[in-house]
Amino acid sequence: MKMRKLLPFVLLAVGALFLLSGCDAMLDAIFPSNQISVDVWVTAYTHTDYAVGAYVSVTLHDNTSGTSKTATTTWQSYDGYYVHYRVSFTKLKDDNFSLTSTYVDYLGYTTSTFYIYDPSGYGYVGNGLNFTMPYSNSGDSTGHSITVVQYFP
Amino acid sequence: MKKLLVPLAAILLLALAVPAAFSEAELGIGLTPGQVANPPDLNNVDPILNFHVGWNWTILYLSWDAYAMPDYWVYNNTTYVDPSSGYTVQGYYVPGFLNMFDIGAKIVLKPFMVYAEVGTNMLYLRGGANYGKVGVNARLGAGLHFGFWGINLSGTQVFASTQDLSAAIHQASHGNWSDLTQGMVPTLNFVIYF
Repeated sequence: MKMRKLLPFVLLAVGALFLLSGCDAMLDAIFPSNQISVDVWVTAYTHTDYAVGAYVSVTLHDNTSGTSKTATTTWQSYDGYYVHYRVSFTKLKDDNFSLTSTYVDYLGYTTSTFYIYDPSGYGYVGNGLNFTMPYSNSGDSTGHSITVVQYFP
Repeated sequence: MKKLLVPLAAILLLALAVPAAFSEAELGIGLTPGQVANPPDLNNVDPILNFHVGWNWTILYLSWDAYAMPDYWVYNNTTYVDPSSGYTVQGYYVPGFLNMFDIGAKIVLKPFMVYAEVGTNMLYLRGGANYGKVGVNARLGAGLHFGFWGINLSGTQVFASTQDLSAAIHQASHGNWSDLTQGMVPTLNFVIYF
């Protein structure tokens, strides 16, 4: 096979790739399923010592199918005021979901979900967030990839 | 330095074995296992897709790889601690293309081929922005080249800065390859040659 005769097509493909690599539609095609990230903020007054040994469990309940997923994580970062615990749920259907979380501190004391925010609108959502995917009131205009904040004072 | 002489001599001999006029363009697609890509939640096992363009002349090898990175990867790699304040600067939670522009050496002795490259990274963020602080990379690969197609396995290591990369190469020249190869993300590539 004389592959070199196809060289013009290679150049076209390179050009297409160049365009696609900067193309949002391409990314949306590659990541078509819904994804939800939950950033859990826990107050830490002076240092991160409180975070050592503490953990957060986040449960995403699919109200449509009646199934649940739980992700547990230890702390990831500290911004000077809050310790951040972040988990992600991927490959989600266009269902209705509710979100709850539990913070277990280093002494073993447990606190359930306090406040949930949609950071794109900075709106107070309340205890137990219910939403249907795609959820367009978020940073990603497609609504397929949203992030919410859970805040523990 | 003496330890470098043997591999350099081997590369030179192999380069002499490659026909001088040999040049080749290539297009490819690759897949990286998701768990290897270190998602924050072990339940996430999304594989990472990448597109590849390359060209080589004798042993000179130029390539461009665009990895479609999920939003949680982008967030983890754009979140950093501000050294002046000590506070964490939150990253972007959007998917993106991690573009790697590399230069290196590739030796093809059909049906075998090996390559080594270093280069710079550029992260395109969904929505139109580019993020430049994703450092540089080093890649090692080996595979098979059959006529107009081939398959190879590569390992890519991303470094925060060129200083980190040069330190890892310096360590490798002293026989300690762990800084260069430990944590390399493997990718299986399917390539068509022209």
